[in-house]
Amino acid sequence: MGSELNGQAAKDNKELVLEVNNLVVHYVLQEETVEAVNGISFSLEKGKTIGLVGETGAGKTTTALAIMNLVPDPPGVIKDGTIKVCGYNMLELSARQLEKIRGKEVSMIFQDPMTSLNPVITVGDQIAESIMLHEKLTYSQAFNRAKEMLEMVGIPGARATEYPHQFSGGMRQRVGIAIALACNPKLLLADEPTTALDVTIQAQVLDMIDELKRELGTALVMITHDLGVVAKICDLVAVMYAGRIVEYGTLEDVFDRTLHPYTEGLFNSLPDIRNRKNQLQPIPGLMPDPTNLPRGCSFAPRCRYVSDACREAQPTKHQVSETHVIYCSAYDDSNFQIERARGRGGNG
Amino acid sequence: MKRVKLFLAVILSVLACFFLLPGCGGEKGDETGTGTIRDELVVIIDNTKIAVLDPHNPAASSSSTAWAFHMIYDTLVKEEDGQFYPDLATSWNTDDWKHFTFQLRDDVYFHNGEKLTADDVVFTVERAKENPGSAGYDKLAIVESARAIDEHTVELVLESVNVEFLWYLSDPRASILNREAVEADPDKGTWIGTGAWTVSEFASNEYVVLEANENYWGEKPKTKKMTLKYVAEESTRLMQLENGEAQVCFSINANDYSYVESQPDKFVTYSFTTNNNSFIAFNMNDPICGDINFRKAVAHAIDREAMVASAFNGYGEVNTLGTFWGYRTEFKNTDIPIIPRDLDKAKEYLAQSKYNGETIEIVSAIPDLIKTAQIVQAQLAEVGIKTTIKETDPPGMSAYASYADNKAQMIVYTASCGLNGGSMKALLYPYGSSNRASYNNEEVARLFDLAVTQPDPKEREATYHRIQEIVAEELPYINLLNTVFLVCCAKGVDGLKLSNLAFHDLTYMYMVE
Amino acid sequence: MLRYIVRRLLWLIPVIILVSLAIYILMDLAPGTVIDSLITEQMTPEDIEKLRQEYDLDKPVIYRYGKYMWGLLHGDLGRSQVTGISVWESFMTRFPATLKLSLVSVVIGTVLAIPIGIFAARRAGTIWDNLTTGFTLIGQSMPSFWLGLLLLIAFAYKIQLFPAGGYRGPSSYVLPAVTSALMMTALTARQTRSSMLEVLRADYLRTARAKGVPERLVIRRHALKNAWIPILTTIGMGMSRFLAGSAVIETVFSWPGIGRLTVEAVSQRDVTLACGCVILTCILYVIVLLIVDLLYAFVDPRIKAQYASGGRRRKVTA
Repeated sequence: MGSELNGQAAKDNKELVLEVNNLVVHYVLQEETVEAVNGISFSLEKGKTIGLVGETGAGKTTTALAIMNLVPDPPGVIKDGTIKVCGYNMLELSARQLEKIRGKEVSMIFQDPMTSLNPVITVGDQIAESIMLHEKLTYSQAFNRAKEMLEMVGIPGARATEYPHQFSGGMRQRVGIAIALACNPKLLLADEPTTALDVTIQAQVLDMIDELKRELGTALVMITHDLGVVAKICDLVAVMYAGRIVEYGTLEDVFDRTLHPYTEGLFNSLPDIRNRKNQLQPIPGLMPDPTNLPRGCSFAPRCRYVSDACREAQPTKHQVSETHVIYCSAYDDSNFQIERARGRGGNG
Repeated sequence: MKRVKLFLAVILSVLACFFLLPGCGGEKGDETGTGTIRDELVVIIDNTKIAVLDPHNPAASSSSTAWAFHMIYDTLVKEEDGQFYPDLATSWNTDDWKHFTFQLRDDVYFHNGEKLTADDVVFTVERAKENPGSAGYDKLAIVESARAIDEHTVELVLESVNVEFLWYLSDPRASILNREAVEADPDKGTWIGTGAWTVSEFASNEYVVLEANENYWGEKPKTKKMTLKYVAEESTRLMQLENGEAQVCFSINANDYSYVESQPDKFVTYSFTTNNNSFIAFNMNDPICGDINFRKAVAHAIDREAMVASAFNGYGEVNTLGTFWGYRTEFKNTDIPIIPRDLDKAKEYLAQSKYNGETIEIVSAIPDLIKTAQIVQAQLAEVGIKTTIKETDPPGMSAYASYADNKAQMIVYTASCGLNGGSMKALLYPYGSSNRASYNNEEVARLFDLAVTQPDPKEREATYHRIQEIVAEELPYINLLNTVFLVCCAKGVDGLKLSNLAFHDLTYMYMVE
Repeated sequence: MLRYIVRRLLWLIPVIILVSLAIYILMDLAPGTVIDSLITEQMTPEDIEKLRQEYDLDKPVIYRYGKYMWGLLHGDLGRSQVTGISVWESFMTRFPATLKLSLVSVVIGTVLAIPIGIFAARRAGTIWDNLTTGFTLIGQSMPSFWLGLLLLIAFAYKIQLFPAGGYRGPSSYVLPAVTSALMMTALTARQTRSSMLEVLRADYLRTARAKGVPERLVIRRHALKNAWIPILTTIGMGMSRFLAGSAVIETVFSWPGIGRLTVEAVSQRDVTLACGCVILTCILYVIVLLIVDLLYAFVDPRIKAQYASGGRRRKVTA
């Protein structure tokens, strides 16, 4: 399946910044094994943005860490798959080669700005460190660059000599962004960068990421559970559930032509401002225990369209259009429609 | 990264400072074959410490301090086997044993280059008298006045007649100091003497480094440098001797004596018996212990051999005489028989005494003597005397069992006995500093006062013998034993002059390699 | 910052008052007085009485204490009652030996402990971690007296590599420093391990790795710097304890340090010397801990900010 996607991209002769193929990541603990990521594939072109959407525990962060080859080991084990960042096979590089690529070709913005900055190093130094490591600059040159980066994210350069505790949460996340973008990476992984922030700040930060990404031509993997964020900045969307991609397509594919019951569930659990009388319809039940995934479709226990076949076998893949893929056995029946589609009055 | 390097650099340089400092201890003299005399000797002193180098300081009363005084200073006269010989004084005379004149040598110079004069003697006497509590005061307080008759003649007038005065003058703590040096520097001026050795380095309570005095007026030492050091930990002393860090040790653990004696190709040993008796003292003011029958019962109950064997590893000389007198103190009465161990007699006396099953408290201090007290306790239990032991330390002992305010009942302890008869006053005279028994006998006191006015040794002997008879009858003390000490030296060490008073003279000690 | 230092130093005053009062009272309760260390054969009762008066032993302890404090107020620590040497001088002649040994011990202890602690933390849960934890446990529970003798027998007697005690030349530092350092190594290694363990889980290390910081720099620059505060505290405690001198180690290695000076002063009932030693040790203790506190600010800007704002309580944990 992944190879088809890749092939498709190659056909378009676009420059691929990221190719993830059949990635499997497990956390092997003494008592049990957590199957966090179970064979996902996707790819990303230069300058594009993909949103990885899903509930907490869907394997989004693990996927991002795997792309950096930073899955904590032990207990994390990348069981299978390949990851190519700008052509480098991340899973086969030596530690030294990885250090050269991390921060330079690919970098990451973390979820919690309160804990992801080193409290005892000035923010300027934290930015400059990355620059010094990847570009042959002296400390003072790097520090000046760090100041420029701060200015770029909207913080006065003079504050480079201050420590993280002297900044507010939103500003710290800007620092995190500055660190990530310090060396103009070709790929940026943003792991729920706005979750920990106030709503007002969220928008600012999001706007900034979007703007900088365009400015620098960076490809972006936006990890979020917030469909609003996705709608705002993503070109592509991958909806993840229990370590698998269940629906994959362009923003329009997934938002306007939703096909997968889980994606539908996600939309239904959003409040609708135009129809406030509408009851929220949260998806019933919980995500399955990742140490004990069901034999069939992982979503089956919560799915309103479930059939016996779903429980027995892994969902089948349906290439709906050139860009739109879903994994759901219900579509084996060509007449099947989810409610959302019915509401739209037919497919497409 | 930079910080880390700086950190490492600091650490390395700190370490380097310590390791590159010059002067490792234990350097050897001429590395020649056998038969040469070693340049430097390191001596581990006894269990006392050298706190100050000033005979007029109360802290300078330890025996090892006296060794240093022997080496650094000279006295007016010196004593050997009860006879007196010239030292700084070439001659002396007295008509009444109260007025003494001394003729001084005129070729003696202090270490600072000052010439010895009569004024230095006057200064020494006056300074000693100003410092009660010091050993120098002890020796010189009986001098009422000192006067320089001319540059090399000095007259000393005593408060009262004392035929034993020369004994005091020959004590190393009565050594002559230099007025100029002490007045210029009260602390270090006292390091200046006329002796065969000069002080080159001194660390209080730790060590003193001495160098041979090239300009000494008398016979010059064979060794060039000598360190007297205190080693606090017993078990490391033998180690230091074995690995060559020290050549002489005065304080090897008694447990190691037999080992050292069994290695004649490595060590040479010299032994001496301390003049100090260990004893059981009875508080004469105590209702039970003040009873002569109780004291006799105790005397018959004890077994000295057992004490030597278990508390002193066999290194003790058991008393065979009944007299309570220093081991080598002059005029010892050899006619008084010892009270033998006899449990029946002990029980008999006990029955006649006021003892009625009470628990008697035995006060003791110092590990060996506390062990001895435990043996006494066991032996007394055999005849039915119940005892309990109170352990204390030497100052505690002085506070607990002092003449005027004696809170003890029985005491197992020791006291320093001098070589002259009069020195026994400390134990037997009212208010004597070591009178643990609070013993007060008017006749004994009178005889002590009489003895020092009797120039004729025969008369004096009779007086001291009488004292000993009275004491043996009244039994305020029961003598136990005199410890035998072993001085352990590396093979080849010789020239050491041991003293039963433990005031050894190391001046001419040397080692042939 | 200055206000903070001054306030900390002012705390010394009640500490000194209480400590010296305690010493005066305790030593007064012990049997015997300094006079009993001074009595000699020929002293008459009058002489002794004169000495008693000279030392005010005929007056209540509180009078002597007051007199001592009055002298102290004028910066006079008094003189040893036994030797008559000034307490300051007695202390200072011993202090260099203690200071040098303390420094060497702390350097040895720290240089050993931190890598051991990091090593154990990075391999937490493995056999290596258990081995090092075992080692530190042994180090902590081994009596220094016994260890000292063991080292002496091994390295001074069997293999005659170092002198069997004494304070002469650099080689004489090795055994006593190692002995006293071992305890500190054990404590500091444990502290390093646990605070590194805490830090190793921190998000900012992931950030650092994501920047491409090489692993050894991640540990040294990012992790260690955050783990420093508890480690520094342990080192500071170690240093201040060394500075008080250890009578045990000084005895085993014949080291002319402060510990033995103090113990001997007590055993001779030399109240002024004992009190002076303890007061000076207290001051050293407080100064070392103050320096450690100031170092906190140096390694952790958050604490510096607290000092600057005159914060009342400092937080020890990062």
